Amino acid sequence: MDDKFLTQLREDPRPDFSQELWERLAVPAQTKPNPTLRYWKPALAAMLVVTGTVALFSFPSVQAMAQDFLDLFRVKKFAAISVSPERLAELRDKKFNLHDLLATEADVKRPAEPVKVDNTAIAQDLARIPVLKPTQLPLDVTDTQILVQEGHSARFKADTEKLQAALETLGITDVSIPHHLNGSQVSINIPPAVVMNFKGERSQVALIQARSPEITLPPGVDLSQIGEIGLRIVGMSPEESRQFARKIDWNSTLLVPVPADAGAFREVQVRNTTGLLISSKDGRPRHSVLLWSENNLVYALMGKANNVDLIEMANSLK
Amino acid sequence: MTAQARVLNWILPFSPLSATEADWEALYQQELPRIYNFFRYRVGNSAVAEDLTSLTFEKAWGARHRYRRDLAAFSTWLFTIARNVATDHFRRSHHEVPLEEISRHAGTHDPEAEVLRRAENERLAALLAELPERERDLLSLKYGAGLTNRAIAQVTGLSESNIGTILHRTIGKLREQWTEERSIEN
Repeated sequence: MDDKFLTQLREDPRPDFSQELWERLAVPAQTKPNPTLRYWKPALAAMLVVTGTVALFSFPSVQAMAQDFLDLFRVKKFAAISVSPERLAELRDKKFNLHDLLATEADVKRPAEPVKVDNTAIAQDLARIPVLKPTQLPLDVTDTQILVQEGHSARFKADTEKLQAALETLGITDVSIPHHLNGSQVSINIPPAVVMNFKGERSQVALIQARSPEITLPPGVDLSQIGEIGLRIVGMSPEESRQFARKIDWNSTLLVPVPADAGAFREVQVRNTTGLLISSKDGRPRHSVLLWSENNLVYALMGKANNVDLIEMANSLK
Repeated sequence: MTAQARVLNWILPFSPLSATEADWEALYQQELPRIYNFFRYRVGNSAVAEDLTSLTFEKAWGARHRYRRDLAAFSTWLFTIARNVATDHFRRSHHEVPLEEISRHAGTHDPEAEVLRRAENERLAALLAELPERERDLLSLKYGAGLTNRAIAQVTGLSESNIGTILHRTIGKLREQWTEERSIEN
């Protein structure tokens, strides 16, 4: 059916109108984010997946220096938990934002931009880790780039009042919050990392290798209790979270929440250890992340590649 | 971007922390003409269309943290807001906006052609104004915003085949009126 006549009312918006509206919208968007938040998004997110959201707020006591710390988190294992999309939407709708809750008291050493280096030997010197290279790459890869990201660290104070308020907004009132930890200090150390980018006409894969991030905790923290609160936040029932929290080694397991509708995950055998493979449900090839830990180092291999290729690439590292 | 951030960005759709930084300027440039023309077809007035377009983007910007790219395309989310804005507008105004200045922006230097174009646009706008709400909404999404039937289905919740049927019937009727009026004029 000829419907061309129906398109004739279309016109471009006036340039002045377009410009003015964008300027109005862009003002808040361009407001510089608190650098603390920007740089600590990764650390905060890592914290979330390590101990559940709550752990961030509830670490103990202020004498934050080495001899007082009895507990240390280092990644030795990755585990995923499925989270309902409704819960994630609720967290967003209620602006359950760790950044805002934590950043005010943070003492942050910010990292510089990653530095491009010519070869793995230089990367190895800068990052102070043995750097592995894949001997098997997707066929179309023509470009390899090596970057070194310097380490960074932060310390922040727990705020159990904010935690309680945040929990209440989610309707969680039946958990016991360790208020004695209020004001206590937690240190996070993110060691240097080596990033290798492999690009081809179709492939795009990155390998990241680094020593494990470390979260230094004061003595007496019941990580299982805190983890349980975190699991409640991501939507587990009281019973489920209690049982799950008991099974996890909270000092060495990095927990990754995966929305049930957006991604799939499974444990895979990689380099004689157990890794975690997370893949998006959509897209060809899918976006996948393969995470594993080996010899006190953590590895992430990620990109638009099929899962078999990713695992083969990981197994070829030398 | 830190190495750790890169990991997170790849886990992006999975992480509750990654309500994620879309390229808002690119999305704005891409969606502005579609939203604006949706309103032009919907309300029949360029000035009102600009106001409602502004309102839509302001609402969307204010709620960006709620947008979830894993659940819906940005345009679907934006058009859901735009339709609500249109509904509020009609609820408030209780009457159709007069069909003025529908072809405010002259596209040619030929005065005769311009007069003709304006007349045609006004005629088409008048025909659209006669349509029932639902049909005009669908036509605005289809011909104003340029959405596919599938995208319209996502925005409206109607089935794609239902949309196809309604549009087919409505376009047929409009086509008839359009041709009829033309032959009377001639």
